[in-house]
Amino acid sequence: MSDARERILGRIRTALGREGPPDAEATRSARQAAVGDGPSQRPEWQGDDLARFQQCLEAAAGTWVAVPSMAEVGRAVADYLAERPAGTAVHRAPDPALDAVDWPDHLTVETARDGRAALVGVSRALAGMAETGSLALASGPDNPATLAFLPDYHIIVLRTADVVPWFEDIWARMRQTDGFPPRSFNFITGPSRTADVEQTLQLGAHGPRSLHVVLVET
Amino acid sequence: MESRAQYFKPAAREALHNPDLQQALANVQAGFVGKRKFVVDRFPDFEGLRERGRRIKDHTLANLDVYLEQFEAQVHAAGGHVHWAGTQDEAQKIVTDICRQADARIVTKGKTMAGEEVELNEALEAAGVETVETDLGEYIIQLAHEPPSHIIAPAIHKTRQQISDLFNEHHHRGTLKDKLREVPELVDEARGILRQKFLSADVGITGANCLVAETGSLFLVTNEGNGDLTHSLPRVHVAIAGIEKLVPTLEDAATQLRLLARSATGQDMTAYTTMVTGPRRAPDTDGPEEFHIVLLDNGRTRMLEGRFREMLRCIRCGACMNHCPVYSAIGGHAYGWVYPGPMGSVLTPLIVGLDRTRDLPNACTLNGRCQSVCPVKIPLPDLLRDLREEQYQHNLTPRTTRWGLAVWAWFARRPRLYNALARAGIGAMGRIGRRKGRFRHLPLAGGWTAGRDFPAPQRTTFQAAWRQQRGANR
Repeated sequence: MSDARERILGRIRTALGREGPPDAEATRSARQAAVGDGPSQRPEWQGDDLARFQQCLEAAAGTWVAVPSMAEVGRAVADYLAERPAGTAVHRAPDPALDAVDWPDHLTVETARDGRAALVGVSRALAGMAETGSLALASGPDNPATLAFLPDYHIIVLRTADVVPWFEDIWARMRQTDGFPPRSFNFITGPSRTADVEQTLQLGAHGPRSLHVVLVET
Repeated sequence: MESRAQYFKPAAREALHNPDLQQALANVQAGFVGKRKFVVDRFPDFEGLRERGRRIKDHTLANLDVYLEQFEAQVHAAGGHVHWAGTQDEAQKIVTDICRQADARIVTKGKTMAGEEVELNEALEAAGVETVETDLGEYIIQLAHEPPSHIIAPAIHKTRQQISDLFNEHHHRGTLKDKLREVPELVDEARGILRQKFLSADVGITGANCLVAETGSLFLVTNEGNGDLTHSLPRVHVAIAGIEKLVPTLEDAATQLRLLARSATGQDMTAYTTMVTGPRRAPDTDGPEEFHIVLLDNGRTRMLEGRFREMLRCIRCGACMNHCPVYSAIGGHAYGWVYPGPMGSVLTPLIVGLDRTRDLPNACTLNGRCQSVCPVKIPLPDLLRDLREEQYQHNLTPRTTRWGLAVWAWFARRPRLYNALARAGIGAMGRIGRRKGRFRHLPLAGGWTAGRDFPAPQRTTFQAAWRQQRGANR
């Protein structure tokens, strides 16, 4: 369909009245002139970013608990599961950051290559975004994307130092990271939901029925 | 789907008298409108955000060739394939060919309006592929063999009773005794059935909420997570998007995302906002092996040329229809094609053709609510008026209207005669209608009085009243 490509681009150039080949540098400065130098209008809040993050996460029906170290994450996960009909089998992401977790003996912990067999999945977020209480996860061998969508119970581990205020901070951070963008870069804000039946909100549409965040204080 | 916009009037009349539809439509006002207002009011400078959104889209459209080529190069760099589709037929062929090459038996679909536009489901079924819609609303209307009636809540016209009946028929062969079921039970049943489809699908097809030139990525915005299961589980991911979906940078995408969720569902952020770039990387342990993006024209380059370029800013949030008194009264199906409400009344004539969509630009009270809530400030009422003008220029306006306008214009060019006649006519009507203050029947105005009363004029013309007012103020 390369002729379709030429046809479409040709029509665009005619419509835009282009005479020569477009200049990428000129386009960049035209964007600057059109949009301005400052950042986008965005939510603002009083107080610290972590509190804002927690508040927005709760508003999106997510839950959270804070623990003092990565080792303590295991106990927090066990406590969370004990109150739910979720069993004791945990599928954790291979992320090396989770190697420091001390898992209680009664949990069966398996390192997952994907989410197909998982009822309970544990992933690690690269960042938390305070403006909306969202968690940012990058797919890859460390954190398989399907582990965030197939389990009924999705638990995400996040270092408090990784909470940033806005989208713009996420992009600035990720542009410095090797391998960005990954195949799938996910912003997760609460559990799966639908309002397709009579506009009535129902959690657990296709993805996780609940979302729990374990904040590791750093 | 084939456009049925030429049947707008009978379809609208039927919709007004459909009690199930009227019951379902009451939810639009209660849900979307109030939720949007709440989150917009607490955003510090939503007006500034709208202005920024408008500027980003205008700039992108004015440099669309540059950004499309940049996007294409970045997709290639990430290991993906880019396909260009000028028309519906080309888009169908591209997607069915990909499915054939993948030996696909089952295809799962995330919601895509571009896919609806080019009738992807029909083409795939004709090619012998089982095609399953996975957005719950889309799944419901697929079972009912109906088109979507809202761009973000496709089954908004269905009541819980109707959905219970559909599930009973399709999931239980009509054996269920409990006729009306609760929402959690219905959602859970669909989840179980669709989970099996997700796990066995060979190809996943999604749309895109925006495309980013900088990285060759697409953004998918969902609440159910169906989009992510659709693109992450099968061996092949195909996305289809209109060429106007581009933005230059990730920062621009963020501006658009801030506008989209708030305008669409009244959320600060949907549960899942995902940026997809290419197929799985070498060390990845899940994700599709192939990634294809189909860039669709289908009339968009034509719109780029003239006064309707502004319509290409549309980010498909649905706020215009949620706030439209006409949509609120008749729902989406009466509009006859995939895009309903104000944005549909502009888009459908431009894509399907002016001649087969005569009523759409006229199904508008020009009250302007749509424009005031549009996240990218599209002047929808102006565009509808422009379409009416085009209809007139192309001789598509009904003969009675043309004659009426011609007669009026003849008098209007003769101000003395016009004033004298207006004075006499209004004086007479004022006297006759004084007692009741309204007319239930009027000669030559049966179309008006069939649906409402005509208020009796106040015995003097506007111009006379104006002169008097000015005299008094001096």
